Amino acid sequence: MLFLHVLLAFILVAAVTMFWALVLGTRPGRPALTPGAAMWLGRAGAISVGIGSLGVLIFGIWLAIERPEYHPWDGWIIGSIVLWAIATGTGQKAGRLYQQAAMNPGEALTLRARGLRLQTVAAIALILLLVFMVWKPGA
Amino acid sequence: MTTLAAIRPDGAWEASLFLHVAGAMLLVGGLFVVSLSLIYAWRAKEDGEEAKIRRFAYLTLFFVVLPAFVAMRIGAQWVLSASPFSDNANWVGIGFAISDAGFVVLIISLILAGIGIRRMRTGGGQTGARVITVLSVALLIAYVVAIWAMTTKPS
Repeated sequence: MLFLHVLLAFILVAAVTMFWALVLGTRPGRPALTPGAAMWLGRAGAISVGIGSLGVLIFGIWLAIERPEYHPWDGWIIGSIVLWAIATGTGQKAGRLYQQAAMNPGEALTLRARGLRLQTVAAIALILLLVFMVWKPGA
Repeated sequence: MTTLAAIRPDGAWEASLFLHVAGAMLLVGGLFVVSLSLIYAWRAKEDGEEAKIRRFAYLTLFFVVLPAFVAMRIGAQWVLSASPFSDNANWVGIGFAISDAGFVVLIISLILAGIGIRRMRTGGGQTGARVITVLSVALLIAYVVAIWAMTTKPS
């Protein structure tokens, strides 16, 4: 159970790493990737982020129920779920903005800037999530 | 959510564990980007497109995977020195074996990437790219085994 939870967390972070690589690889003016490659890699990232984010939550809650030393209502677990919601919500919105930027070159810079802000929020939420998992504040 | 609780006892070594796990996650993430980019490059029909994606993958290998490996490895040594676990435990041995072999494979991949970037100017380097693709996928599989060993701690 713990193996699956951690593995899915790795898949989630792998997808986020992919999205950051895509942000850098599709910069207007100096793209390191072709549009076709960016779309293909973006799809792979989207599939991975879907599997990783949902799976890590399900197995995480399962672990909190299964292990006698933890409870789903522990402060650090609730905090982690809130951070998970922030990370997935902002990450999804950032992805949509980047897709719109690819389809509307005229507004690409504005859309990408908004997407970058949201993606940064998602990344910070994920880092804090890992901090919660390691330090377990209040546990 | 309780995950990392089971891979650490209580203690004041959270920082080392954070460095180790964060480094490992970035390492796997970087390898994921490298592998998929090179798989796409392998399938690409245009030479120009293929070379562009290969370059992207090689830069990711150098600027993401290599530093992440260093962070993961330093974190591993630090967390082990501060932990109650024995250096001779089976799962620690599996972790070190995969990490050490992975470092050799990473260095080979980086050398091949360096050669590949030079050969790109003359339109070559495809064979090296394919070797790196196979090596990076093999590394990903090996790191999944390492995650299994770290979380299940087989005796």
